[in-house]
Amino acid sequence: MPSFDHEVSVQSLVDGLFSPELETRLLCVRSIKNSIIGSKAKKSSFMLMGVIPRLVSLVTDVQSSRELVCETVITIGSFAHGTPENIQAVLTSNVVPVLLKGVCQSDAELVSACIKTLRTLYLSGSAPASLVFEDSQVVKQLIALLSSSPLTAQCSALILSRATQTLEHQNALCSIGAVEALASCVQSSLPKLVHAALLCLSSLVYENKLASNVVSQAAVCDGDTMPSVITRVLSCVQCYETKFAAAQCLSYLCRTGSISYDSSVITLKVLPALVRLCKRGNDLKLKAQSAVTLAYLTEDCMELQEQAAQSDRLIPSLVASLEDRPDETSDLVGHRHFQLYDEMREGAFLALSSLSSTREDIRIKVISERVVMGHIKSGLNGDNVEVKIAAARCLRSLSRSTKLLRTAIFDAEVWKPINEMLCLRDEQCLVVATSVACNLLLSFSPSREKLLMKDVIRSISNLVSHENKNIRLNAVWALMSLAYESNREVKAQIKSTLGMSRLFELMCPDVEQSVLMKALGLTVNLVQESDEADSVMGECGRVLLNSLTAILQSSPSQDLIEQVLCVLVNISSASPTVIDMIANHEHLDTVLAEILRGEHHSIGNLMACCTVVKNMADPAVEGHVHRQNMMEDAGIKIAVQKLEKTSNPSLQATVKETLDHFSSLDLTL
Amino acid sequence: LFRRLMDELVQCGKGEFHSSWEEKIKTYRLPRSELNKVVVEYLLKEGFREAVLAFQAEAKVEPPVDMKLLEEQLKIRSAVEQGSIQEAVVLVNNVDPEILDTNSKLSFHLQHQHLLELIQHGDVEGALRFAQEELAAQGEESPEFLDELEQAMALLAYEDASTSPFSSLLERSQRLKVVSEVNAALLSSQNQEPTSILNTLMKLVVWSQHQLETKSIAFPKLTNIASGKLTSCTN
Repeated sequence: MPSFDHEVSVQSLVDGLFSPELETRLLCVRSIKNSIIGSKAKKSSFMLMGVIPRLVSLVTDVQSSRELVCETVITIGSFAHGTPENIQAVLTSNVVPVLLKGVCQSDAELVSACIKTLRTLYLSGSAPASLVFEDSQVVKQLIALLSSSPLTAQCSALILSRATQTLEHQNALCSIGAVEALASCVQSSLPKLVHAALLCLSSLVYENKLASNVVSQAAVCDGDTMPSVITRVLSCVQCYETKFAAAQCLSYLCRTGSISYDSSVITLKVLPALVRLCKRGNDLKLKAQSAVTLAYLTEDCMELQEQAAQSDRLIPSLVASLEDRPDETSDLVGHRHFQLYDEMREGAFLALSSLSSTREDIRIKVISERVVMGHIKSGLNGDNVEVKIAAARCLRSLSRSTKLLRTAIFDAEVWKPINEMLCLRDEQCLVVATSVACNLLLSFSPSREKLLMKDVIRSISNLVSHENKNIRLNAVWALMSLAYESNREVKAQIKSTLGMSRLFELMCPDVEQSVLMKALGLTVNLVQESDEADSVMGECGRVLLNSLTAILQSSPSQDLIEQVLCVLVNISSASPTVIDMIANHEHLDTVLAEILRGEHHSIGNLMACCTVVKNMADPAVEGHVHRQNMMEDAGIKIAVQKLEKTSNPSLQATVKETLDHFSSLDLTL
Repeated sequence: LFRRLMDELVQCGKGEFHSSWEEKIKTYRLPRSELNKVVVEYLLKEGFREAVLAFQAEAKVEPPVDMKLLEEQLKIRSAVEQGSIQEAVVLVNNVDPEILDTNSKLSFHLQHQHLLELIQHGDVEGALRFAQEELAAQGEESPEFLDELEQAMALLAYEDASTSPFSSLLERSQRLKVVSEVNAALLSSQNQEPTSILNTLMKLVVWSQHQLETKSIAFPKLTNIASGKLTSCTN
């Protein structure tokens, strides 16, 4: 900020960087450094003059003195503290590999300058994470620096925390001693170093069971365990950011199974800490991060959801955060305030989503905060994609309630933004929107009719072939929900919009089981009534039977067999033509006989199979003689007879009814 | 000081307090080494370099911070107290180039102080130019600084700035505020606590006494911090 005649001096300083005199270059770098530190406007001004690439070239120039290199790196580091455009300009100049090489030098001052600049770049979130792990020497050096001076160790830990993004990165760090080095840092008396080490540990163990085990078993002083040390930090440290970092690390260890959900560390330390950090009055960013971590910790554990929901007015606190929208008319409110508010909304929605995912009483508690549905709708309608997704996830949890589907959810008309979300390109949006649609389209949901009027069948049918398997699954599931107990017009619309050929594509044995199950479920619902079965079989009976047979021949799971048999039960209740088609299918009878003979099949599947046989053998249906002879030839009758010995009364009754149908033929003959 | 405090407490305690209190005071022993550490830490953080050296020699205590940092602090303090803010900025950047980039409040206050120095020297044109080129952008980025900027600019409306309602901005105390802020930032950047233990203890004593008074509890009150005088405080 030393001021000078700005226009002239900027140019002369930039020109000075190209001077053949070393001293002149050093003087200019220092002047630029002192000019830009503390001033984003000055940084932008120099950036527009193209000074950054020249600075980078000075660092790599072999003629540059050590002093010049250090000052230049420091100056680049100052640009990295600037606007997003400044940071982008620094990154575009390809300085990161240069700095990573600098970190491996022996000159302590140079290493310090390089590592501070790298830390700033990586904390911005824009630096390429993979570069750190491209050279194993760099990783080893960064780990070695965890044992050097506190500031350098802190920078190293922060760089590693941001650069560690994949399973490979995590495993690489574990294998070369990062955990042991971080263990020392976590026990340091310096709060900033402890904080940085905890952030690094969190990145290391996130969703990685192997890494979590390594961390949990890492040797620390006095025979203590790492989770105990981190718990002590959580309890004793005063800085809220460090408390959060400790709570986050322990939450990740819990989710990977290294700490049990019912351990006192989680129930008496971590969860209460996260709940307190979500309270009003805390720093907004910290609240948002705490809410996200709380959501993650509780999403798979009903007991923790219950404990959190009962804790310290957590739900009202989270809802109150949604109400704290910045005042647009105030001069003191800037872009950053709105950004933080959106982060808070995202965190609050995610936390509410986890808390209300399982228990009805918690859902009612959430809805009793009257403003919630309004905020969910506002989130769904907004431009911020993360908030949109989080609001939709919250809605998904709440829509698991039959009562809320019929009341608050319908009244809020959230089906409108959900319908719009089904037409977006963003995959994450589609995943969550389709999963909400599965609930909104249930037979007892009044939103179903509204969505039907908005051509939801077309929107969802378009997603059935999406490359993302979760979207495919949810789309088929939504259609299955829609087809259940629907009238003929809706089923006809599903068949014509989706197309039976596309449905059969989903009914191949090599399709992932979850999608196949739902596709079969959809088929069951489309052929529920006899006339519906007649219609489908009339159009594409052979193809359908081929698909079903192929599935049964592929050694499927019991659940899949059950679904296939449900389809067969429905279509075997149709017209004689259809029943003949089933009976005459070349391989189906063989497969049915195998099921009846197999001892490992569930009672339900055996009963379903018998019902199919019974329907085909029904003497009241024309052509039963021919069908019974065919089934006898295929060994089906004998297989059914063997089932007479079963101890299950329901199966016994079905077997008896089936054999009675065969007996009526004997009597006739 | 602490020993005198304890003696006073015992004197007060004889007449009016429980015997357990007296016992505790009599038996409590504060190690001299701990006292020495507290004293040298206070002297360092307040910038009394010569006092630190003398104390170090006499009491054979190692200073808890790098003496080099202390010397830099003194140079910066001297520059600010003399009104050479730009020199102070360069010195701060030499100690830690990241401080002013990461502490926008301190960065603004240094610039603000430079503006006040220009106004004090009667350089109206320079002040206006500086405000326009340097401070306006900061005010735009951080609206919370606008009030302070407006107060400084208001001084320009007066021929004799000492007659303006904001004339206190031109006093030495304003420079000392900036010194204090810079010191705290420098210590924090070196992983040191910005305030000394002694400072914190004194604040704790004042706060604790206030709490006891509001709860109407009798206790020996420290009424004179400099002399360590205790007065019995009853309801």
